[in-house]
Amino acid sequence: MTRKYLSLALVAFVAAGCASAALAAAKFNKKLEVGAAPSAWKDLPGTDGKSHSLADYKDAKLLVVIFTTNTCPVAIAYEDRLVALQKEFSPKGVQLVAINCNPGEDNNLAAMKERASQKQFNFPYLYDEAQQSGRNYGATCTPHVFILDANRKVAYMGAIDDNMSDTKVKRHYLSDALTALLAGNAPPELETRQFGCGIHYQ
Amino acid sequence: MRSALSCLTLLLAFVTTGCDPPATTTPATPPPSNTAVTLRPADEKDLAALVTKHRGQVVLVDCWATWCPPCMKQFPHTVALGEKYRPQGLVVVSLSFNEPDDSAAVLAFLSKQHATFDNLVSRYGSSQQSYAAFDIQSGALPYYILFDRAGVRHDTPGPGPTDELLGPANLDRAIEKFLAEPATGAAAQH
Repeated sequence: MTRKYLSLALVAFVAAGCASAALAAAKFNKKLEVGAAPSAWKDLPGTDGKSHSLADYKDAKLLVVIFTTNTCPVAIAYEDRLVALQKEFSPKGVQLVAINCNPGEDNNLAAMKERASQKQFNFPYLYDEAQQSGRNYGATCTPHVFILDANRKVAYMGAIDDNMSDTKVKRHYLSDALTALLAGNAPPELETRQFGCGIHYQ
Repeated sequence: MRSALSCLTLLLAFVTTGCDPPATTTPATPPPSNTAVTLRPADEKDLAALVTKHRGQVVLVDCWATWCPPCMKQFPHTVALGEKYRPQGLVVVSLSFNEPDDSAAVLAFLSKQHATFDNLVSRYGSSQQSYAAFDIQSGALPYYILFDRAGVRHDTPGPGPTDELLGPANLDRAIEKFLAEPATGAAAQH
C-alpha cells in the first residue's frame, strides 16, 4: 500500500515537473507562455495577394512567426537577416511568416507589397489590420518572434539576436533555437527579451 | 515641532539671503539658457547613483534614440515637462539607446532641444543588453521611467505600449501624482 502511494506521489511529482517545464512562466510576455498554443490566425491578406491562415502551414516542422513592420528602424535592420534565415532553414522544414499589425498608411497592404518586393522577402508577409494576432501573441514590439513547434505550441519567443547592428551580434537566439529544435533538443534559451519599436495598438 | 519649524525658517532665511547675488525667491533656479548640453556614457549603476542623488525629488528618465522617430517627436514634451515641473521637484534625465559612435548625432539633437539636464547614453548602445540593463519591459522605445520622491521606480507605459500610454497626457498625470506625494520614509532620511 505504502509503495503504491509512493509510486503515485512519484508520478504526480514527475507530471508536475513536466507541466512546469512545458509552461515556463514568461518573463517578457504578459499574454503568452512558452509551451502554450496561441490562437490561430485566419484569413490574413498577404503581400502575395492570397489569404493566409495558420492552418495553411501544416507541413512545416517549425513555424517562425515574426511581428514586424515597414517603418521601424529596428525591424528594417533585421529584414535581410530574416531573408537569410528563411533561405538557410527552409530546406530543413522551417517556415517564416511575418505579420504586420501596425496601423497607418505607411503600413497598409500596398506599402507592405512595395517593401516585400523591394527587400525580396522569401516568406509570406501578412497584414493584420484588426491587430488580433499581435494581441493574442502578446507581441509588444517589432521585431518580436515566436517559434511554434509541430503542435503549434510556442517553443521559443523573444528576440532574433542580441543586436540590431548585424556586425555586433554575439548571440543568435532564433537561429540557435531552430537548430536545437530540429535536432530534437530544447532551445538554449526559451525566452529572451524582445526589443525594437512599440506596436501601436488601437 | 516648533523647533523644527524654526530651523526650517532659519534655513530658508539663510538660503534666500545668504547667496550671492542675494535675495532670489525662486525655489529652484532654472539653468541659464546658454548652459552647455552634455552627454556621458552610463550603465545601470550610474543611473541608480543619479537617482539616489536626487532622492526626495521625482525623477523622469526618458529612454530614447535617434533611430526612433516617435522618441524624437515626444522629446520636446519631455523638455517642457522639465521646465514646467522643476519648481515642484521634477528632475529630468535622458537616456539614449544609441551606439557610442552616434554620440555626435545624439548631442546635436539634444542641443537643438535645449536639453540642459543630465543626458546619458547607454554603455551598451542599441544592443539587447541596454534593454536588459535598464529593464525596459516592453522592449520598445520611447520608454519612460519615473522614480518617486522615495526613489521607488514606476514604469510608464504599463503592460503594453499603446498610443494612449505613450501619450503625453498619461505621463503628465503620473508626474503630477508623484509630485503631490510627500517625501516620506526612505526619502526623508536622505
